[in-house]
Amino acid sequence: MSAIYQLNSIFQEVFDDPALVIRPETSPSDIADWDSVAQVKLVLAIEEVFGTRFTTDEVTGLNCVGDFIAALNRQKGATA
Amino acid sequence: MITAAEVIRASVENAGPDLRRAVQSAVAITVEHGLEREVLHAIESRANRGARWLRAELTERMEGATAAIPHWEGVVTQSGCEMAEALLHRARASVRAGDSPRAAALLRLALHGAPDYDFFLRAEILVRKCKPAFGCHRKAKIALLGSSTTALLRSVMELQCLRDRLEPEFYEAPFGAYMQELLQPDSALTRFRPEFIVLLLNWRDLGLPNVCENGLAAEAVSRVTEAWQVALDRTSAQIIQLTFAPPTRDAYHALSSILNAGRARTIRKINETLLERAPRRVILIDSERIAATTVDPWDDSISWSSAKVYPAPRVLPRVAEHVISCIRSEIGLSRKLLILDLDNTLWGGVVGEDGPDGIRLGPPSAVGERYQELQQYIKALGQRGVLLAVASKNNPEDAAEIFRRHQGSVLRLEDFVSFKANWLDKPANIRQMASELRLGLDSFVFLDDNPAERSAVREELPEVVVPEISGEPSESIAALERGLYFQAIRLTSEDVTRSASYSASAQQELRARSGNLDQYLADLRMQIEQGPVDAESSVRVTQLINKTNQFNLTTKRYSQEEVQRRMASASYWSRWYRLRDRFADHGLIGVLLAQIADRAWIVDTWLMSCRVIGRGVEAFMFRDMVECARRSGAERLRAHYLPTAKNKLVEDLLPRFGFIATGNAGEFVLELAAAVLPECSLVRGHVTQIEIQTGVETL
Repeated sequence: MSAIYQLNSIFQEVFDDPALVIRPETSPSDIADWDSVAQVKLVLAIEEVFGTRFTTDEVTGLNCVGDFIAALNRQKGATA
Repeated sequence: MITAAEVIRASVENAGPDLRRAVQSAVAITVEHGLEREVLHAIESRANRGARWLRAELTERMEGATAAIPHWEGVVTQSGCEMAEALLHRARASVRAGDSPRAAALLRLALHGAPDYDFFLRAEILVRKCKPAFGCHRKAKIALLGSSTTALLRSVMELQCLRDRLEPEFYEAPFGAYMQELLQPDSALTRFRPEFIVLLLNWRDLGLPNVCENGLAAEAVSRVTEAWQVALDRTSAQIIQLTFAPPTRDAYHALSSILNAGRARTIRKINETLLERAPRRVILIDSERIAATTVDPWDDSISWSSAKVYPAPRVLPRVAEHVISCIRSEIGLSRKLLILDLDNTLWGGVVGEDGPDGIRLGPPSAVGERYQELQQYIKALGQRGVLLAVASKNNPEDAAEIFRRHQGSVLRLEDFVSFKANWLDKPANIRQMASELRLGLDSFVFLDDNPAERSAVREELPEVVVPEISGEPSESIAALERGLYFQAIRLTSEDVTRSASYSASAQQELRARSGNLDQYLADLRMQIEQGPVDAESSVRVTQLINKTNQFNLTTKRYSQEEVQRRMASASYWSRWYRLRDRFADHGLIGVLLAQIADRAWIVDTWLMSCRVIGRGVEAFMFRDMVECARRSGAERLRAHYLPTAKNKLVEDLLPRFGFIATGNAGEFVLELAAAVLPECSLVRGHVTQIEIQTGVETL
């Protein structure tokens, strides 16, 4: 199952924008409200929905939606 | 053969405790494979929570937010409690449908339920969008200063403030620069003029090694107290600070708390010394006690190293709740009255059916012991000044009997200032309490195990806080702890005697309705004591200035600091009044402040606690002010009536005592030479008596 569908609803909720559509290449430069504080909030919200905790390296290396997906896939592999 | 849709259905119906995650994952699979119709069909007639939740989610995606509202309304806990998740979806749908007031009511309810941090993340922007609909009564200027990132705490506090009808304005010092901000004479911080400074320091700032040599603790204490001093000098803010929590990881394990110089022990000593040295304008919140109540760990090293967030993001809602409760308390917004249902709230069972011997209250029944524990908790609330009342659908005699004679009942009839056991609807009973006790509905909390009663009170009396409780007695204590509705940061002697005073007031109310009021007042044998506002009385005076709504001529609100400045100033005359009667010592109940300007005294504040309204005390206050003004050589009194939504009671106060309207709205003047002193015979001295005579005008 691709994580992007669930990620999309998290982004829609956090930015309260039901029309928001994200792609793997979507980055903070594409969403006006995606600043450093919003980044921390997104990380926390995503951890909650996926029931996971990112490592220090992962947290500091999340620069676009694709990085979130890659980190989540790694987590899945690690816990399988 | 089992279909994919049935597998998905089973995955939510058999989900473990984390239902939300199971539903989210079921939604994702359903949508990814285009199985919406099949899954909706498979769960069509299912009534369990997982199926309802999934139905609401899928309906929202297929038919839109509005169509999903009825489905979300069905998503509640086993005991019928509302869930933050469902409320959030309903609120979002209401905003999209243009109904912000409804959305605000739903979000307020969710925020009262102490939702997880995750809720704050997802609701933040939505809440901000319907901010005007939250109906804020007051602004609050809050500065966040700290050695960590304050932005996350700020977001959480903002939502909780709006929930409590406080419109917050924040100032955040640049990261880590709080000391520079404080020390700089004309910094953005001082220009902001905060009412509250939240100081967020943590153990890392102390730089303590595992074993702390002599002197390190004293040094840490003086660094903190110096910061306080600067903040107190440069602003008139109240400082709110969390105590230092010892690091949860320490290579010295137990030794850290056992050794005299161990780091944990040293940190506790620092906290203790800070508590001893804290001046009145510094409030310290006990971090360790908060940390003990949070599910998530207090300190999260990944959040610290990646974003400098401390304490951990997931405990911030709890931290913010404590901070906000102190702010509420400081500005007089703590709740005052706890209204209790009886059957299955204060004891197990239904007294009208099971009889006094059949209810569960006290040992040997395990649940009976839990109910007794709840009663002990409530009794203690009463002892420190929270007023208690009963609103129950019962025969009055059945209900009263339990508090009179039941062995297991800790609460007694005299603990309640109002006892309404009858068959009227609860909102009507609660409204009546408000008028009898002369208290605002916005100072009430209502505890009832019945979801229908809770919802009726919420719909009709939105000012009343109605926590979600399941009927499990220890859950009721948890709900009261979660809300911190009755937070107090100081204990005055009035707090301790309040309940007796209100009981006496309620008796007076009853007698006044049935008989001769003047005779009753004469029988009360009231005694008034008065004096200039001083350090000792200024705490209670500030409390009254910030809480009194009805008998309040100008409704000016002052901080402790501002009160003290006025009482010390030669250009102010200040007076407190204290009332005792045969039934009760009502404590300090009245305040007069006048500004002395040339030959006129300008009445700045004239207020009286609502529980002594209607006794002619204002006549005594007026007389006292006139006599003092005459003695000082003043020629006239000037006063303004500033109308608010709640002070219609004093609309005609000034003309009643002979003040003449000047023609400017609300402005009055009284030439002292022409002033007529009202009837009330006075005995001079420290303690003064007034005899209320027949014919004295009462409000």
